[in-house]
Amino acid sequence: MVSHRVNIWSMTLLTLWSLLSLFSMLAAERASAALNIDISKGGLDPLPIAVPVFVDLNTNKVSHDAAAPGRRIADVVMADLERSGLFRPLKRKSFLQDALSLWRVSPQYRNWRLVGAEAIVSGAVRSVGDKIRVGFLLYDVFQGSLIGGSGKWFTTSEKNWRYIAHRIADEIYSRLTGESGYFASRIAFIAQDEEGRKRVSVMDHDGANRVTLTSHAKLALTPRFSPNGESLFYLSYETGHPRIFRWDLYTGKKRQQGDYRGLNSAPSWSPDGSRMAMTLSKDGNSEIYVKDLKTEALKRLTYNRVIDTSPSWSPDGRRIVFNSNRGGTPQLYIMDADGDNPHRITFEGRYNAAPSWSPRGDWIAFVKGGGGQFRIAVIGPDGRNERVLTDAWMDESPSWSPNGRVILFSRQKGNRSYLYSIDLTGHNEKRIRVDQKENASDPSWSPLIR
Amino acid sequence: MKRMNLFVALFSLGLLTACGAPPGAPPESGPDLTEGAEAAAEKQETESRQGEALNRPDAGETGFEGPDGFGNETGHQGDDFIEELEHRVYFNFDSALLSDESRRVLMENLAWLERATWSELIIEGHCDERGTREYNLALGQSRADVVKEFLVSQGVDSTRIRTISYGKERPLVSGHDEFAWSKNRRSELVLR
Repeated sequence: MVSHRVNIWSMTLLTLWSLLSLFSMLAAERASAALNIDISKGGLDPLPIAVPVFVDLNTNKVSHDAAAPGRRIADVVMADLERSGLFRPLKRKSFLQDALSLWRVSPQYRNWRLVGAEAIVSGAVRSVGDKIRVGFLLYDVFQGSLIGGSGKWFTTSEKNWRYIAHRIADEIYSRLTGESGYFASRIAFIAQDEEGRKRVSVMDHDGANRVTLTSHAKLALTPRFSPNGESLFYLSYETGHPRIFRWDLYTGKKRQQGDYRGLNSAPSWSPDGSRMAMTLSKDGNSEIYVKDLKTEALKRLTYNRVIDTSPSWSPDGRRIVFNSNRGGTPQLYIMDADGDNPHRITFEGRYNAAPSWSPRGDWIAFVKGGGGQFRIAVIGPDGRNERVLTDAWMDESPSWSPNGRVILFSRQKGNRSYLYSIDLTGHNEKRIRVDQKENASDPSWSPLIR
Repeated sequence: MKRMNLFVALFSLGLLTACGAPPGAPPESGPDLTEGAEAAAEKQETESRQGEALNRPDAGETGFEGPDGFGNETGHQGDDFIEELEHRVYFNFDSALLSDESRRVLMENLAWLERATWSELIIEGHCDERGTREYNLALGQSRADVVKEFLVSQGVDSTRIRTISYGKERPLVSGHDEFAWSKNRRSELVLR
């Protein structure tokens, strides 16, 4: 009898103990795995992240007022993270710990687990004259620790507060994915107004701080950022012919780049900023040339009786991918930067054009025509692993994010034209809002602004 | 039996030669078009080798402007016909080859050029809305160039001709179907 009772008791204990150790083992596994988002996988569940309003260090208070810097900056960070498709920012009114104690003391991890957060951003702002100093910390809720070792402080003039918010969002993205971000960047594009005028426009990647290059010109096309993000090449008909111009964004200066007979088009900066590739028709038909921007020396790279255009440089500046119909239909070719060794890389379909080499060098984005559609696709520089990313009637002008993970492009729907972005994985396609009444096209993504 | 086979063979052969190029096929597939373009190119090469470009005088000799006082405008029987003449030619998709019809239209435009007073002829090249921005700029340039080449081969002074490509930026007809597209794949002759 006694043994019977002991057996039941020890069985129960054994079971309970097994369950407990199993549970703690699982919990320990989760806790010991560092938070990481693998962005090469598409369609992941977005990471739930908490971004409370930043503390105002001048008053040691937290203001939810829409104009308060702590609120403004936290909102931009939140919007960047959400727009990437990788994060799901949680609603602030559900938070159980206030932002002030979060910053001044530390996270109450249990309270953050309860609202479903896996990561927390804690931030603060101090105004010093016309400058602001912004700091942030990033916590892993399950591990109960800081991510990335320590926080960071940024200082800038107050009017650049958005830039700081984008820098912070880039830091968070980077610490959680292992990749560099892309939020502190700009987008140049062509804006067409209701009168049909097409002009070059530049804005922050989230649409703020928009500037349009106004001139008497009515038709501008294909803006392209310089490697340092401070200038744009673009095509304009303001002299009566298609000619390439340069706009220096910080000085506002505008200069014509050459006046070659016939078509001047398709400007593209070399990655070291020293040369420009372009398409000229001055020698009988559209060929690709490279111009040294300092000496103005011109070198012809293609020699044939067909169309060669849309040059795009490899990130090491050694090769150029371009579009040629020397084989009978528009296809992609790669040649050395001096014109040697041209070889074809696309062999499927009758229309492959508008190539853009990723800043990481691993992919070339382009426009693939077929079946009555023009879609954005990617292919390896070796011509392998071709993949179509979009599925619409007329998509074109692909341009890469600075980290080579997102592609901007232009989509035509009927008479309207819109800017879209899509991840390299083919997921997270979204429209980029500009003015309702405008048509937007020809996007170009700047490098990271530093 | 043998005759039947022969008949079938001949009939099939007839079918093959009668078929035109399928839509979207490379321009080289139509034998007539290729020959025509080559002939025009050859002719131009011959002329440039001789170092002379023929300059047709632009008034008086053709009889459309005469002592009867009729100028370029109304009143002359020939002008009714000229009024309908389009100062443009059309192209197939992704092609800058002149069709026989285009060549005929250009020949008629030569007469128009002779009668008109002008200092500069601008040839614009255009594309339909499909395809990429930059490729279409180049294709438009090809379409303008091929018309210039033809007109120069027929004696128009090349120094008075300017070409300009508008790619797909200036459609003549709005719409997103083959009718609109076919009207937009064109070269225009504009006088200054």
